[in-house]
Amino acid sequence: MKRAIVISFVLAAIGCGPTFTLPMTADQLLQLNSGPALVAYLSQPDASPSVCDLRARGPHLLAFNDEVHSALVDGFVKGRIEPVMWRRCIELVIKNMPPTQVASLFDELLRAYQSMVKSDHLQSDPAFAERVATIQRLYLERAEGLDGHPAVTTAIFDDLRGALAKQKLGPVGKSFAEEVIGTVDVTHGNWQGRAVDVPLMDTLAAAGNAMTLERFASRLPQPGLREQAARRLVRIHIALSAFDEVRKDAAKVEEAVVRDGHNRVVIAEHKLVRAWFDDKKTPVRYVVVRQHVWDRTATLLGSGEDRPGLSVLPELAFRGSLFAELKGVSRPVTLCGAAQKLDPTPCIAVTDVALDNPLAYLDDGGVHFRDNIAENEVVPLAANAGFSLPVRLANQPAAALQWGLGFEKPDDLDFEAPSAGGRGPDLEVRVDHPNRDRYVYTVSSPQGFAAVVQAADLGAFHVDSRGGTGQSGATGHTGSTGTAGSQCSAGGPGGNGGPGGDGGNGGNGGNIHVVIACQAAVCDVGAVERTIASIGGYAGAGGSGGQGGQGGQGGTAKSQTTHTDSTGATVVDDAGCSAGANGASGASGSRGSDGRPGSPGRVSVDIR
Amino acid sequence: MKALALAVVLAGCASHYGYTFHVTDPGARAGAPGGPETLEDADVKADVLVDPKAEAIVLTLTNKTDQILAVEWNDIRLTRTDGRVSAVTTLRPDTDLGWIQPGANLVARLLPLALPRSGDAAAAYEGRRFDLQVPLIVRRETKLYHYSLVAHVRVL
Repeated sequence: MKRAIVISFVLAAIGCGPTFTLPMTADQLLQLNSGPALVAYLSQPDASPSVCDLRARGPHLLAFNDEVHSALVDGFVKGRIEPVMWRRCIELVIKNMPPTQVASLFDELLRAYQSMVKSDHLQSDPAFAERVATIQRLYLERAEGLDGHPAVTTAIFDDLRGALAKQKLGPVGKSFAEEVIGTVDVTHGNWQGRAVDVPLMDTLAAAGNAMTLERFASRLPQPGLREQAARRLVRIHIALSAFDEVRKDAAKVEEAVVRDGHNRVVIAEHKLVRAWFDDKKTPVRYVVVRQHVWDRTATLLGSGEDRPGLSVLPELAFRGSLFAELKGVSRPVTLCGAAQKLDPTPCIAVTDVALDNPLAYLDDGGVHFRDNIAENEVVPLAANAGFSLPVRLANQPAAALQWGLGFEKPDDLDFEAPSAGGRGPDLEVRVDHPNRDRYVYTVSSPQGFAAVVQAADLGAFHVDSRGGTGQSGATGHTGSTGTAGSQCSAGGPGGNGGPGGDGGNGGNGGNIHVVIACQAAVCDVGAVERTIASIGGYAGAGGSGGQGGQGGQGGTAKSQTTHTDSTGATVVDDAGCSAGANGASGASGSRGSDGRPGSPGRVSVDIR
Repeated sequence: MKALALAVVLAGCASHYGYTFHVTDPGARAGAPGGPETLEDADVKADVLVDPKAEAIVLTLTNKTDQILAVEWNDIRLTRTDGRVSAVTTLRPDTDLGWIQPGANLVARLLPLALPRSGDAAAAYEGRRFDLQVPLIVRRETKLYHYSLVAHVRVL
């Protein structure tokens, strides 16, 4: 046990933690369900932080236990998870945590932050500085009512105040600490040494100090003052709004935004004129379908110009990428943002959006792609030129996101006889050609299997009915060992080995009936026919002859015996003898005959 | 012991570096040596000075329009590009500066600007490109201004 612990420690110390095969889908993460697996998953391009949401509609962690907690914090501090991804994950974790656990999490993060702000690395390592900034933003922008334990946070902030007063921090650390301490003061109702009140807010609003008012709106201790700050912040946003109707109807818009956090447009009152995706703000992916034909499942993966190699498909935010022109609204609108942004820009409610693609779903305003998909759900995609994500707004068809689409070459559909020398199964195969680039193979007998094959992969894909390989012949029996010779005598000869058994015949391939349905596209019938074959089973190999028995061992030698007589002469009593020769080994048995290979079955093709 | 001595010697040999930055956008005007470089369009004049000693970017913005100009101070980004790999740093002013009245200007010290000071990590910054992205609301339209910078390092 002790040795195992030492080995684990050494592996950890040299960076040899558990390794995972990437790309890892959220569904695969769910099966692994461990902290290190979560870190590996989140380290991937386009990973979805929704796996951290214990109430997400899609696959997600089963629990946020200590092991996951430690791995997530450690993975971030060591730079294995990108700051943006980590923050989104942690925010989702916090959303579902009881307050006592949130307090402990903030305690731990603030302790890490305190140490990082004082570190020399902060001045010289940009990535390290970004991690510090990420913890700081997470803490300063946390939801109302959430915080660390007062005893812990007070000690940490007192320490930072001391470090600032004694000028112990470098310029980068100082800038971080000043912002945190300034915000902590706001939570006590103070700003730059004076109590926060409405006249102060008016002065700030007149100067457009949105940063400070945002902090007041989220962190002041009195709800009334928070609302006053929010109102002034909304007024700044309204004054800067590009929408004439927002500025003209400022009071009404202010009420709506303070109440709801955004200024939703009711689509029923503003007819949808058109909608579109902004190419510059929407990620472009080439969707690759990986088929697991024998499991009858598939996985969607993606690649992109900015994402070399295959990875999971990204979570999509429609805000800022999906726009709609609505009658009576002066400019295009997109989806509403987070309520705490207090944005008066007219926007579409997330609840007005729906998707018409069964492989994707909306959750919390983001589009997610399903991981564990049945093969029969991806087969219909073969007919499409690309991967389409149609969107409805207020139940009206609005726009569609179009990505490229391809299918990885699936495993061969190779059906073999269930027993040695048995006949291959008869197959009913239908090949459809729903798109010029793809063929769909459906094997309806003996069981339903399907595979989509790109036209370019036809040369490497096969559907076979294969007879079983013949049974191998039995090995002949080994000859008996010769009898051992008695003293001075030769050993007896070994017995001959027995002949090997004959190999069995290979089974015949099954009959295959193929229907090639070309539909709209022109089929390469020859290429399709070459993918389908009935194959006789290999002949069973004849058994090896038995090995000849070993000759018997020769008898032992006998020593001469003498005695000395009365005259002192040596008298030979027994001349003795030399050892007996070993017996000859028996001959090996003859090898059995190979069986006959099976014959292919009949392949008949109907072209429709 | 020998290894420790070698490590101490090697650490002592690491060169220390200083930085200078230049704006590479077409039309950028250099001022006095060591001073800011200027870029402007019909709406906004920007004087950009990277101050590695203060670990800040000093950005002076002048509102040339007849309307209020606002900076989205929470969304300023600095992207460092090293081949295909980009790293993004979020910069913020050290104080809330509010908006800029027509014809007025303001000076923002944007933080943090962490830079390696010694060894290979610092030397690798020679020629490295930076993209400073500043979202502005100009005449009520949000526009993202990009200022391209290149770093030069020298042994101190």
